[in-house]
Amino acid sequence: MDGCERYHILKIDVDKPLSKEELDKFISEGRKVIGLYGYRTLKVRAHRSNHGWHIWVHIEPSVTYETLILLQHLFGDDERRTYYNIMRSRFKYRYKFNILFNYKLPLRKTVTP
Amino acid sequence: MPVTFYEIDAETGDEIIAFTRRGETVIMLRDAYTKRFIRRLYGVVAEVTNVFEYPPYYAKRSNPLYVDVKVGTYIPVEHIQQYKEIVDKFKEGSFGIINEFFGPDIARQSRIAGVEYTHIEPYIEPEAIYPEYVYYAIWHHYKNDEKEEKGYGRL
Repeated sequence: MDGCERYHILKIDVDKPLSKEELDKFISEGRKVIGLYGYRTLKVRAHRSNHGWHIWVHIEPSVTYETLILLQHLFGDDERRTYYNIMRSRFKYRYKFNILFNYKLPLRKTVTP
Repeated sequence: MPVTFYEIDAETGDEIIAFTRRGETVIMLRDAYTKRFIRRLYGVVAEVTNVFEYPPYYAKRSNPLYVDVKVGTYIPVEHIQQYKEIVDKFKEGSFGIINEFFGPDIARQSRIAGVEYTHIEPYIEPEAIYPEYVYYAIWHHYKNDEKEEKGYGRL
């Protein structure tokens, strides 16, 4: 992967304890929003995470990294995650860090040196 | 058939399961909703991410620092039963990589952000098949000091 790669899976991190019905509504609203820009949703998979949900949205056609991050944000991705994804967009190995963890360790507050 | 490995694929949202059938370990990719098998796999990519974050609102003298280090390996089917021990080794190893680039102070304050498993083939590098590994490091210090590194090592 050399920087001109294309992606077709949006990875959404929702840090809110949504119920199943709320999640369905969240996904259908997100699908409508990205549908307005001409992207078709092929498959959606959602799994519970520590704080909420992780959602994988398979879309068509495939997009560049920058568009992927914007679509993720439009779908309702975590703002902090979007911020770091945009910050990494200048890097060659950026695709390695758009991640949803299977197993996440508890946060430890960074100590001021 | 007891399932010895069950993880969600961090790239696609499908399930990766391993079980023993007639004395042979089998890894399968399975759809999470329909539970239908998609295809057979011969290994899994396990990656540990280590993060150091000293954001601008804490940093004094305009000296914020953000470091992301990811250490990964392709675990072939014959080693899949020991995947927890392998991941534990990588958790320790990721601190060593931050130590190498930034010194012990930063390494001590970094934290393991999480572990992920995937099967995507472009992520499988021949140089990074267990016990060898690949690491990616990205850091952003200030505007003109941002860099990325990739390297290989052996456990």
